[in-house]
Amino acid sequence: MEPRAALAEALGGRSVLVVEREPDAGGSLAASLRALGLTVASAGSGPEALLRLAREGETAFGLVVLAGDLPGMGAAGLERALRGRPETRALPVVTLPGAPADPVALLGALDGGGRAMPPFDLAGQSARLGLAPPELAELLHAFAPQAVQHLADLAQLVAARDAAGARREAHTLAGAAGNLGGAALQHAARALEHAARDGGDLDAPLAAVERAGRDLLASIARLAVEAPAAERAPAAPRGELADRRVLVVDDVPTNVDILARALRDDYRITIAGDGESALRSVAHAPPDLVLLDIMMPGLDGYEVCRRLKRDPATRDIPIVFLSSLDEAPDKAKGFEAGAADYITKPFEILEVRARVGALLRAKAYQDAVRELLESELRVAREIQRGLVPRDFAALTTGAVECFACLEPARAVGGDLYDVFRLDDRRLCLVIGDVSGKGIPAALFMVMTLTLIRGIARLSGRPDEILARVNDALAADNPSSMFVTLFCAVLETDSGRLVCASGGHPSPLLVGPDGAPRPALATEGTLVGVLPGVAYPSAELALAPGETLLAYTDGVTEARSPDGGLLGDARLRAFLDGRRTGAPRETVAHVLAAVRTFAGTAEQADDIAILAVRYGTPTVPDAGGLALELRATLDDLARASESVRGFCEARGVPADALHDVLLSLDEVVSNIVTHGYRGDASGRITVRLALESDHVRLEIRDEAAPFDPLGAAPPDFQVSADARPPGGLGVYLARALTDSMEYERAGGENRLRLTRALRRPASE
Amino acid sequence: MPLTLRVSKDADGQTVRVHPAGSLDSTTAPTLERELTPLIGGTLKALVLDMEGVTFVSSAGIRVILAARKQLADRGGSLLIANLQPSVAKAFEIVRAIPDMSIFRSIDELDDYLAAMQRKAGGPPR
Repeated sequence: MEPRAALAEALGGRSVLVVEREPDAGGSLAASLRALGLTVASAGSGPEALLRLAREGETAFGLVVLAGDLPGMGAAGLERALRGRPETRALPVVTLPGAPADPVALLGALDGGGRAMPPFDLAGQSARLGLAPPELAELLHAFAPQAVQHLADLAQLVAARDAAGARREAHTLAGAAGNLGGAALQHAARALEHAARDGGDLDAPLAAVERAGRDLLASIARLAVEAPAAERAPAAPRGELADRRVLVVDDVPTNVDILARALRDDYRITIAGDGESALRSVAHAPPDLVLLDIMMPGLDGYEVCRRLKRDPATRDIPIVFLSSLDEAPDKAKGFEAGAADYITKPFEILEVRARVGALLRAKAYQDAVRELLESELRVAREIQRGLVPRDFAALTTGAVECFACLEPARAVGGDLYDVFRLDDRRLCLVIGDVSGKGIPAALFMVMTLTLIRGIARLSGRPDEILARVNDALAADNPSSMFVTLFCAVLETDSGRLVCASGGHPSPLLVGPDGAPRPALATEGTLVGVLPGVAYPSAELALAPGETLLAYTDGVTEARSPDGGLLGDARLRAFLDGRRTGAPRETVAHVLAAVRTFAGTAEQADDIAILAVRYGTPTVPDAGGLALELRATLDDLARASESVRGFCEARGVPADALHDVLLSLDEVVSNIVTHGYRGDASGRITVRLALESDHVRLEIRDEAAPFDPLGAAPPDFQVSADARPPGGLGVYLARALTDSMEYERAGGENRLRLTRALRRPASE
Repeated sequence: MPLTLRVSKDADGQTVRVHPAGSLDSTTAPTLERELTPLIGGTLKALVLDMEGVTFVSSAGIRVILAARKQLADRGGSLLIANLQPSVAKAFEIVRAIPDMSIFRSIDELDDYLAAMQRKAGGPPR
């Protein structure tokens, strides 16, 4: 009910007696009371008031209002006098500091039956909250209009019989009041909250809330006699954890205010007014701890907590619930949601500080340990990467080319590969997979690699190498780890391969002459478990252009997000479409296929892939010239000499030869400069054939797709030296040859040119 | 084929003659560029390229020659070419480099042109 109307009703037509020094002055209490629509009689001193009351009868008045600065017997003295006389003992009395008269305080006096209200325990409550008394007074004054609003809203909700709404509103009011030290209002609001929850009568509890509310407001109004508090300038946080950030989440501004003021000397404080903004704030800048209210509009505290705990990025941020829900089931629910602690309101600031500090210290320690571990793992990963060969150009021997990759599932892993020369004709190839992952597997991997390298130099036979490695590992293996190994020795001038397998999946043979197939029929026994095992040896020969592709089960057992396995069949089908690529490209393609298949799923196992190709695929050539070049201008010069020699020896006319050489120069220098961009290990194949009336030239490279026929011709409108460079070479080559065709196949650019041996003289 | 170079300067110090020989292709074009650059700097008014000994020119070589011509022209000098072999001339023609250049069939023609320019300007040719 609106205060003025309530006042009128409470007074029931009776007058108000105002006692102040100068009641007739403008701006007097009497004047402000009249402005409220009340009937006012005034007295200028205590004795005059007593006289008036005796003369006109105490029942004529419903309320006595005393000015706080009354001279003579003073307001306190007059009040004592009124209490002392039976006729006036029950008369409501209120002392006000001055005009204007606060109707709420007046109502409070009327309602309270004139009893002397205890003043607000500012000192005690300030201490509890860790604030200076003027700060708390300021917060209370800021709260007063909000409380009036809450009371009005509550009355409306109860009148509308909205039990759920009334419960929420009562809960909020109880929390705020409790926080600020208004215990009576807190208890009354709590009672209304429970009544709403249990479906009981709401009117009586509402009346109690309104009474307690008015009492509290009256107490707050009395605090006006204090000088307005100077805002304590926020100093920078101090202490060992001063750089930690605490996020305070509560939808009631007063609560946020109290906590922020109480904690800001110790930590950096961020605030959020509801669940959604809290989540956004965390995503933007993760705090070191969250102080979380539970009852909030939208997402409640439990849900915010659950979401933060689900996300790996925020899982480790400690969450402390700070709530006026103080029953055991509420607390249990909080801990189940993942909270580290639960503090009930009204809180003791000392306790909040102590618990927050303890949690932040624990988290700081956890972070330090993790950082130490991660930095050590980073170093370990680099060491492990450095153990396996990566300079494959240096290992290229004669017609044999190789490439490999190693991708641990975690920082370090147990897969391994190795490629090293036994002598200038033989290359030793190894791939393996230690049981398990992570640090233990990595240590065992290093031991295995070292053993293999040492033993291989003594014995060049894979079956013997595996047997002796097995004996050495099995001898001293308390944790019963084991490794699957495939070991082979390749004769680089013949393609002959001797190999043995220790429980490792068979590598595949991938070549131009058929679908990919396994190299070995049997897998043999695991290495490192039992000493004295014999490993069967197998011999095969790589055909020219054939690749041995070895891999670990991180490839075939890769899982897609919906749980499917990549599998042998899919791997073979994939390689079937890429039978003639160079080892570097083959390995890259397989790894890319695994990554694409796995999609968003985490890499479950270590991956190692090793590809070794013998020779290059040759096309049957009747009397032609076939050249393998590296992408260097020196190789181009040598190739040009070979072509010149070949053609001159076969009587190719000079002008045709010139045009062929010029086309070769233009096309290959483009591949070297633009295709391989200076990567000297790039491969280029040149094939030249003499037909009866023309020369056929085919140039292949494995660089990025580029179709010279698609390039725009130079702009001849512009003068030669103003044109951008480029395009000239291809243009020349096209002009000098009779046909030029481009194809992209097998991962290669393939350009075919023909030039007639004899051109008509008019050309 | 490798590229060799012979360089001579005219008595009046205004004209330099370069005689490359061999193949001017992607491998040897940088050599020509290296040799020409110091010659072009300074107050040179005419650079003569006598291409009699050049049997092969690729677009890389043509680019070096065009660049030299432009550098000279920026300083008010000119590049004169003579004695292109037929296959080489064909390459120049295909890339339409000819209209921009002063190309002469023989050294005598070139010298006549030079002398005429000097007479006309009363000094070094533009």
